Amino acid sequence: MIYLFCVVIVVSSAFVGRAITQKYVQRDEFFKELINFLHRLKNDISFRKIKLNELIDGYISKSKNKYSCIIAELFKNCNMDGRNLRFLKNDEKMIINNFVSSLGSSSAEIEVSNIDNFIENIKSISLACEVERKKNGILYYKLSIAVGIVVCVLII
Amino acid sequence: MVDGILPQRLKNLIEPFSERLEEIRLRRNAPVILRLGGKNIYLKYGSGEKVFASGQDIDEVLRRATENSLYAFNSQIKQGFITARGGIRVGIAGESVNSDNFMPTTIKNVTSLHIRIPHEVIDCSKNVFKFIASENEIKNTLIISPPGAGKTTLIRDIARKISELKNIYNCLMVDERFELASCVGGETMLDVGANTDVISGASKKYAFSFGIRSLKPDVILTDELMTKDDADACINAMRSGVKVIASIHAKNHLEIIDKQDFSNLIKGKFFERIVVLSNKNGVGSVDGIFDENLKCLYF
Repeated sequence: MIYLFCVVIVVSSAFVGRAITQKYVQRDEFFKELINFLHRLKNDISFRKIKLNELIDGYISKSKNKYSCIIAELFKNCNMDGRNLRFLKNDEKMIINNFVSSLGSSSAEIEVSNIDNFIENIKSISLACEVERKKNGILYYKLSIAVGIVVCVLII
Repeated sequence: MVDGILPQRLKNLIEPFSERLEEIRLRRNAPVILRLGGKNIYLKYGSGEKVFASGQDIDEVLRRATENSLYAFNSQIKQGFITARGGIRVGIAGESVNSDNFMPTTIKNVTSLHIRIPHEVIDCSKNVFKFIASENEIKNTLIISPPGAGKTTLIRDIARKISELKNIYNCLMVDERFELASCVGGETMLDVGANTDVISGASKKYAFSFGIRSLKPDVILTDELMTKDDADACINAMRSGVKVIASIHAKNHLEIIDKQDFSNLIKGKFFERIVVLSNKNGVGSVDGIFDENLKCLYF
């Protein structure tokens, strides 16, 4: 019975660890998908000059990524207050908001130039998120399992 | 259709006139003018006071007409217009921004907009059609009319009626300004017939040349011949055996003969039928139909 209880504790602590690391995973995956979307945006604007709404609709229909709907909603309605974006920091939200609000108001050449600058900004954030995920994500996961094991040892 | 591009306050005021509405003129800090049934009237509040358009109204119309995607319309804006969904043409007046060699790159500080609403009038070509087409033959036709006399509506209906003939004629519609078929996302918003291919947004010179090679049309329909290149494209197509139905701005065929770039269209007898429209008895009034020798067939 005690051993079963210990197994439950270790498994629960693993889940807790996973939940803590989820934030780092979300940030990393979100920014990587955002960069993919921005490259697509740049190509469609510079080459085919597709209107923003059509572009976003096309992206949603073709992308199977779990963040595609969030990104589409962001670019369509500039909505930074949704629950889905809680993993973003305030300054990141501001950077994205400023970019999205300026989209669609200049020539294709300037749009492409703005997108390039924004991609550079996002790339540096994405890189930092990847480092964080590798460092802290794994650390907290292992730490919570370790805590679970320690609790089990104390109980036993 | 037009309420999609109007700000809410103007939408509510203009809504009662929407069925007969032909044009809207918005000028910064000036009264809004509507054109209904060929007549211009001021838009007024219930109290009788004139409605004025603000700079914000103009900016919002532009934003809505371009669907927040100005870059997608810059080639049109350089020419002074935007064609919005549904074939609504928005003419733009403002400050031209020029490149170093004085070619316009865009328009800024927009001062006024002229919104033209297309009206599909099914069967409006009923009286003209029998002179220009039959089951066995389509005639090269030039439609001459002043602005706003219904030539675009007529051409659109002619295309539709050609598709209804028992003999199948493949039509190519060269819709340079997105007004004839108003294609959005690959679909035509206006009825141009089931047997009609549409090339939108391309110059007539390109569309005629590549269209003939790649789509092998029996008939090409196009609107508003503007330049010598347009006229030459028509002549080359006709010489290739493709029938052409086109329109041009002028009061009548005599005015065309005086225009150096277009006189050959009449003098060369390329067009077997010349249809002259006016607004005399309402939009789309047929003043006359002539053959290639300028013999009157209908008056």
